[in-house]
Amino acid sequence: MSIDIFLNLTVRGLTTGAIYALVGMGIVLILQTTNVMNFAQGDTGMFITYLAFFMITTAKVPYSLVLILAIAAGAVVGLLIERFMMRSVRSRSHLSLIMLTLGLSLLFQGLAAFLFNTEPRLFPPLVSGDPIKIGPVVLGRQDIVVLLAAIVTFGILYLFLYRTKQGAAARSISQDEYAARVLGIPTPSIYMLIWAIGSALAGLAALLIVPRFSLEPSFMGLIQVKAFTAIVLGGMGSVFGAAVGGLIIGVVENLVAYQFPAIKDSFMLIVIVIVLLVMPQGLFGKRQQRRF
Amino acid sequence: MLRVDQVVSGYGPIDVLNHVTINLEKGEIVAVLGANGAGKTTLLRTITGLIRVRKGSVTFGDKVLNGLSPAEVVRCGISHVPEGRHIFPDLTVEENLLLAAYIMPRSQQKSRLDAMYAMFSILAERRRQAGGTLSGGEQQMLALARGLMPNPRLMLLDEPSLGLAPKIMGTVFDTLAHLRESGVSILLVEQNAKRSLELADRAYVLVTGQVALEGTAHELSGNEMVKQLYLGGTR
Repeated sequence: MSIDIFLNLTVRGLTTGAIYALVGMGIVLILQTTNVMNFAQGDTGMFITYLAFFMITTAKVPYSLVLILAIAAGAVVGLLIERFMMRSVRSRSHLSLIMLTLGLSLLFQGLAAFLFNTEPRLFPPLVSGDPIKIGPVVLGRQDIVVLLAAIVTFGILYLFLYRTKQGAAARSISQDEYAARVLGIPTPSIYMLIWAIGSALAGLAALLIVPRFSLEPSFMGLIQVKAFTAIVLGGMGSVFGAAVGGLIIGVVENLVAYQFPAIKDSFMLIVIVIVLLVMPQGLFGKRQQRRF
Repeated sequence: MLRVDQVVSGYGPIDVLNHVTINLEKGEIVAVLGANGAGKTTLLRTITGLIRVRKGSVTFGDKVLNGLSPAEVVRCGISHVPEGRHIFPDLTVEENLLLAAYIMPRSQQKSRLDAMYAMFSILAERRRQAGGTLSGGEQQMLALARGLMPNPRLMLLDEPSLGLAPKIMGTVFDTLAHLRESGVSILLVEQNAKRSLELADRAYVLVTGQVALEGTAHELSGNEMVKQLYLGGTR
């Protein structure tokens, strides 16, 4: 592998990794604040991408607006999930909450198939044009958008968690939910906010990655598995660990795919097993739970 | 000011409080004594809205608290310092304090924060430190300061001296006496019956979810049953 090829694989791996990071950060944010492992994260994004597709093709919404509308739609979907599903079952066991999110995932797949049918469709990239050459690295315009979007999102999420009182409240709930309630923090509205942000992240990630695949109800499945690998690697408990984990997975996966194409996808499952065996707390997790 | 009237509440199928009635007038410190499991903590949680009132009523001033969320109860002017302190370990001292005044506008938060730092100088020194790095006594001061942050008219204190060295326990009780002078009313749940009766104006004794005794702190200090059960025999 020449150095040029290595650089190209790495940078392109980073763009894929940015998507895993976006999905993973949403999962960790929801997990740490509301204590729900959301297996519907990927398919929430898938469903929102269908909505975006509908906006573009049928409602003729200008392309520039679609990204914003899709993020907003994601937030609304998240609000609805919290308000009408999660809130009423909060006190149930972990297992039943997980089953519920698995059901939600199937619900989104079914809805997408019912409303838009399962025929794969081509989703055009947000930006088109020739790839751009930066030194030896050739990068598609959409890939650049993905990287920029991930960096901006990461920054916004950091500011939210560490500079706003709602962010501080979310962190406090993740550490001691009882204390947060005792202090008079309106926990239900924080849960709703976090679901909204998490689901908006899902929508953003799916919309950015869909041009690489075709739009069909199952297209986020594998990406969600990779995002889970990323959060296990990052240490489950840390939003920023999930981001770093996602980037690492994206790069490693791309390098492995070049050398050993046959094991590209199964490789990630091997990574999960090894991480869990060797360092179950991940890269950024504390032994004792730290959530952000 | 606070009226808990014939209240029944509990967890799941079990009623812990069984028609409990207590009163607290403005400016008073009222102690609640009782063995483990008598319902002291449940009483505080019921007042704060952490547990639903099943029967009876809780009123504060002329406001009925039944059915309000903890956030709404705090807004009415009642704060609750839970047993075990419950400091957020990974948040800074300052973040811990600010979260206790979540509902306040920013300018007001700032002035409350300054007031707390003036009152507890150790917290000012440690404002950027993570809560979990404080000593037990410092964490109790932080817990008290969090209780005071929203500028409450009534504070509910659950075992503020539990697990503290005697000297620090003294500081806690001094702080409470100081609070009384500043006009905050206090409902105090304490395992240290002797010290809480010295501090309190009146007291209630809870036995298996019912008020078994009530009176002025002076009367109860002289009561044979209280002496036997909570003050370590005759003195």
